[in-house]
Amino acid sequence: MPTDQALIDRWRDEPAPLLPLLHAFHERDGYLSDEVLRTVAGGLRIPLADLYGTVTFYHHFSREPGGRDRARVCDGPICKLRGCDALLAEIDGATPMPCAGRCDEPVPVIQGDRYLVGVPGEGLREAPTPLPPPNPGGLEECCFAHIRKPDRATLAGYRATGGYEALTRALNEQTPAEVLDVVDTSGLAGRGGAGFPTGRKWRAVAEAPGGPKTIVCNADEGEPGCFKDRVLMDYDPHAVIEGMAIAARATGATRGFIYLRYEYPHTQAILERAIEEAQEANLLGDFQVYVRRGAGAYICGEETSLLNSLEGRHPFPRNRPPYPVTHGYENTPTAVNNVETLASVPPILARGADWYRGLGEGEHAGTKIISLSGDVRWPGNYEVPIGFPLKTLLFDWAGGPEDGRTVQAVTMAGLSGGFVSDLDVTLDEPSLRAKDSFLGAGGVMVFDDSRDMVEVARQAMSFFAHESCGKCFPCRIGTQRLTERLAGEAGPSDPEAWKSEVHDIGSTMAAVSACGLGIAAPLITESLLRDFPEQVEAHLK
Amino acid sequence: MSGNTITLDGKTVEFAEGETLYDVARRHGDTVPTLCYDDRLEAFGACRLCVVEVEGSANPVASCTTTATPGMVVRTRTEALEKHRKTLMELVVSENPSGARIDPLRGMASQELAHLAVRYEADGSRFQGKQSGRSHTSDPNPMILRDYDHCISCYRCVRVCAEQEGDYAISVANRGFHTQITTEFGGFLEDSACTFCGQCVQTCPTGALGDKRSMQHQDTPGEVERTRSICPYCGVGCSVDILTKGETVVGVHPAMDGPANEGALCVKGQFGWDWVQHRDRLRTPLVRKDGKFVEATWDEALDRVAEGFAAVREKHGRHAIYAVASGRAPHESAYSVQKFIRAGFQTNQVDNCSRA
Amino acid sequence: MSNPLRDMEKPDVIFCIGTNMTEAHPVAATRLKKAMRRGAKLIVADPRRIPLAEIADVYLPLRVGSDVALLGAMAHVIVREGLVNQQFVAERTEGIEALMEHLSTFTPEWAEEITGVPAADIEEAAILYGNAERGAVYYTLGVTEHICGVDNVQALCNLVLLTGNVGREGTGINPMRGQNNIQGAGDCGALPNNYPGFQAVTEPAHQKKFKEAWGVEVDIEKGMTKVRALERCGEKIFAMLICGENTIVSDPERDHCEEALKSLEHLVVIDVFLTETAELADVVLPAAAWGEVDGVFTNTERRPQRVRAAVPPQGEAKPDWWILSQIAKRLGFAGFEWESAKDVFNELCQVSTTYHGLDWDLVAEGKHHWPVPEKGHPGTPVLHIGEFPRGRGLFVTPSYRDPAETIDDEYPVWLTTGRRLAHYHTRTMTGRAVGTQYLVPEELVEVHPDDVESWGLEDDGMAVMTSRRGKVLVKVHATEKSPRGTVFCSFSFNDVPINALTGSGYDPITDTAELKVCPVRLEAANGDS
Repeated sequence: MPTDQALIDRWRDEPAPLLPLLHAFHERDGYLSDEVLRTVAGGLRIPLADLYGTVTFYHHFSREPGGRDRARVCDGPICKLRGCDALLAEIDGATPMPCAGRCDEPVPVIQGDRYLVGVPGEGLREAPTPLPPPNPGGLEECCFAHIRKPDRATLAGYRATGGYEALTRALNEQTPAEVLDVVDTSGLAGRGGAGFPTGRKWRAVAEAPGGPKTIVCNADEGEPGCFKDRVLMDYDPHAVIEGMAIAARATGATRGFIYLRYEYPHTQAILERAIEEAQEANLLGDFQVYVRRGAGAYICGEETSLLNSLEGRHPFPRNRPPYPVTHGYENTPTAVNNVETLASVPPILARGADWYRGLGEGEHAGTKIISLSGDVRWPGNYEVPIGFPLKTLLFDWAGGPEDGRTVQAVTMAGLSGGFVSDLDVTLDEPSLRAKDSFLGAGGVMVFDDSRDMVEVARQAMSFFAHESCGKCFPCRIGTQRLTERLAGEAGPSDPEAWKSEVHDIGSTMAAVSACGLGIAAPLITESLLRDFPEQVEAHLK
Repeated sequence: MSGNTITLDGKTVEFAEGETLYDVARRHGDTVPTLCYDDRLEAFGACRLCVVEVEGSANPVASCTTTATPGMVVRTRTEALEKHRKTLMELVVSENPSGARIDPLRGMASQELAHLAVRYEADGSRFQGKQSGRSHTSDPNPMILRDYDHCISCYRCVRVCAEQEGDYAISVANRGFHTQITTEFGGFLEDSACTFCGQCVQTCPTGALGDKRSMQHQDTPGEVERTRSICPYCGVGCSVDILTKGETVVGVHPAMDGPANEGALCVKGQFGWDWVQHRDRLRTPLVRKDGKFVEATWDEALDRVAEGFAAVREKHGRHAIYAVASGRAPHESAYSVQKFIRAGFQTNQVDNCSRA
Repeated sequence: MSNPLRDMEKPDVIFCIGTNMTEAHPVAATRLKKAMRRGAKLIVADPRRIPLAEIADVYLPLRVGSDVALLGAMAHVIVREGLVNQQFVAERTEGIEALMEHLSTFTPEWAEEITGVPAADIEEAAILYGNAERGAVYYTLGVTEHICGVDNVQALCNLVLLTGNVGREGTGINPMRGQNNIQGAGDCGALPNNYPGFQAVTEPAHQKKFKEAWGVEVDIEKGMTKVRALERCGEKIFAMLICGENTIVSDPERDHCEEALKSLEHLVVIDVFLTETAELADVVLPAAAWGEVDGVFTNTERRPQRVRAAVPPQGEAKPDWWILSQIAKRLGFAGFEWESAKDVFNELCQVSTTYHGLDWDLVAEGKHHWPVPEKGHPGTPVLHIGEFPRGRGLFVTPSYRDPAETIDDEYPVWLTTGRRLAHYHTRTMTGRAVGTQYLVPEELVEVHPDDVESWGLEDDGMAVMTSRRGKVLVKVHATEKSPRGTVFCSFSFNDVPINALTGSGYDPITDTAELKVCPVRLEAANGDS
């Protein structure tokens, strides 16, 4: 067992050392003791009170002996439908955790380093991440084109279909400006939810003064109902790494971090192995890539919270401007890109901007992976052209709901887009924004007509309240008050007064919250009030 | 510089490079509300009360974190903004319904929440629900009250401790509605890195942190009056306001415009003033008679002092008289002591206590 | 201080030596911490692991009293590494040749032997300071309360002059004054050698000036320092007026001090409490306290600021100037007919040079730093811009000397003394304030945990601490703040009269006592000691 000093010495001079050092102690001792926090604070010269406060921010750091190895059972929206409460009762000492990103094959359970799947009454088993089903429409794919091939996660397997050739060409035959031009014209935009044009982001980093510049891969896939990044990293890790290295070439960055959510423990080993292989094969040049594992905080998927978390600070979102492209990791120019965005880059460079643009429907450029789950026959990750009709995906590709059931509503952007009950939409931002929703990271959860939508909304708001960082007032208090009202724990009994409170809270949250969490959360209540007024009335009786 | 103007509520106003919309609005007499703002701290953008509308921006922006740029068209008090502010105040008051009745002796900023609650008619009747605070009034120290039932998580205390004081003694534990202000491991202040400078108390906008020394005088009759002075302790020379009710000293506030301290104080200056009216104070002259002190009138005592010096001068000469001036009393003391020796006895037998 | 307090937020390299600033000048320290938030680097030299040491980038834990060796070696490295500001040295200094000759032997390895600080750390500190764009030095009594206090300051000045870190914003050599108005007491001429405004009493022009101003004959010889006066009580000095000082607790050699005051024929004490010193007086006069008097304090950055009465004095207490004027009247002295603090201060301004451009109203807002030579002058926030008082800055090269007493078999432990955050001097004020007294209710001798064990002491147990002059009984506190072989106490508690032990020697030039070094031995106290 390593000594305190050995662990401090191992990490002290590494970049972004706090999280890995805490994980090392967490792993060694099974929890984070007061003594360990004192040692870490001294070793990294962090004020002890700050460190204590920051550790308590993360869901998965345990401060009790034995806490790390106690089972955490996902109680996300889909797992709720699949019996997670029963599973929680079955497992000794188990505690719930927010959506752990395996809605295609519930219910995920994390026990120490073990990543398991449980079904009530059937116990726990180890099971690899489900592969995406073959494209039901036979459409051309970008990210998933080769992912179903065996050995794709190995360097040899990746190179078998031309992997790393785009990077090699970018490094040897193209100028950074040429790389930027290709990405720009391809129309690739952020696939993590914000949809900011990738080329423009990279150009801003390339042009920003100062350095060293940094590429951060946002693999903190915390949005309930989203599990697409996990499949990309587990089965096609080299695509992500190559995408990062191309981003580094385009921007002049010299270091990269993959910020991986806690709930994908097996993925860390896959990524680290892939980085090692790529480095050993001398494919990355001077570009250094580090994997940093989060510790359970949805807000760390917000890019500025993520940067604070990497830096070892309290993971509150930062005020913007300045933006990460000029003042990112340690205040240096930084491109933060989603896994899917980065994984799209090598094929774009290999096959050209026009090819990628052409993958979309009509004027829309490219593809989007949709994580589809809930009340459909064949949940899973589907790569669809942007602009693809939702109904085709739901009914033709995924088989629709069980016989005799109809689809009552779907969520969009995981939970952040609220409910959509008018299914005549296409999967692109203009179409969805017209319905007061958005595509976001592409999580779609399906609820059939047997579901209590007020209860689904309560779970959703309870998730946002649990994950609200506590910095800005409207979100901190608003998510709590909305949850209480949806749960029937507080609030007026008069329906009009109830609706007026819920609407006032929601509209203020949406207008003035400091980050996307607080802005998006009330889409749940607003769409509930809009689409399910009779269920709301029933709830209030 | 002259090109740097924005339109503020319909008027063209100038701004200085780097100035925030909040600064500009306030400079023009606009009372943009806020609860998380303290002039001395980096703008934090938490309370969102200071949001303003900027043309071209979909949502209102926090004026405290938005830098003015030429040509901006800014509105600070539209109906929509005031509605959001009212909702925000109602939310804040919903978790702190008794916040409107806080004794001002708790701290300098302790009335801020109460004032805004009145301004937005937030009386706690809407948005009722759970309370977030977890009071820590058991903290035994006799200086800082930690009455977190009143805490609204604006983090001014945490930020002032880090940014102004550099002590990093307190921080934020947990998240969301369960956020708490904490020391390391949630213990008492005296077991933490806290130096009891009291900066957190003075910036708290709700009185959740209170000056326990001052609060002793909550029931002392009289209005609180302030007298600008300088701290009596070390050589830094921090400006303070002495708080009094009638003839009683009831507290000390740091002066934000004090040139040496700019609002900072330490434990001695902030909390160490109760000696002034302590029962041990000398209140009458004392004269030694038959080896013992007896109380005397000023005339008796001064006569005895003068006679004693005259006798020694007579017997041993003028250089046998020596005076030590105080490094703690004001100039007028030291000047009169040295003049007394030099002009009175024609000798330079005088020094002060700087060599110890 | 050569530079104003606000400059403390501006250096890029800060060198603190012999200053426990977070405890003795806490608000000044907050400004250094702000500079550090902005990226400034901090070098701390102190025998004890004080709070500043905990946040330092380079910490130099030197043996007590070895400053000259440390600073000499830093100068050596600055020269060796080519970090001398040649232009500054050429234009503004003299005597570099002699220094260079001396410095060659002051190697870091030589200094390591004496100071115990690893040579590599000395080099790191010197290179850091030598490369500073804006390097600022701060020091307090840890530098001056030695027999070689003047040498220490000169050795510090050498670093400043070699690198040209003076006369500019965010630089300078900055002694932090201890008491609230100790600067003012000196400014007012409460010194045996100077009239108000540091005008030498031995200078005929000054004698003439004050003779005319006061309308009396003046003495043409310097007076004695307080240290000497206390030595001569009962043989040369027979009457003493002590104003607001608890001499027998704050000064070294307590027994001797008490003897001295008892041997006087007439002792008058003016104070706000019946202090241990006042207990020895023939007459004690109750002074109006802070909060009860109007007046002026001058702070460490030479800034005169007004204090104001907020409440009436307790009982019959009176302002000091009133008391002096009444005594003077009874002795028939003319020129004491003041009616207010304003009258006194304005008279001071008239006769002073440094305050000549000020008056009572002008100091109301505390905007000036002295010198303010004439009305309308903006004041002088930064000293030594372009020129030093003597013209060129002079390199003087002190040699290292051992402290007056060094440890031996009988007294094997270094005792060093100082302040604690919660208390001020002899606790006459903070001992009567509930909050500060709560934080530090008793004196503790701070001993390294290893020493506690090897000397047979117990944490929280009582120990007898003995020096060549006396002994005290004190509770032991085991802490790594103290290095092995060195212990620390403050002098704030009358019941642990640390100054019964101190007084091994005095700086020959300033008569400042070597309060920072005193060899002692510690033994566990039996119940009966």
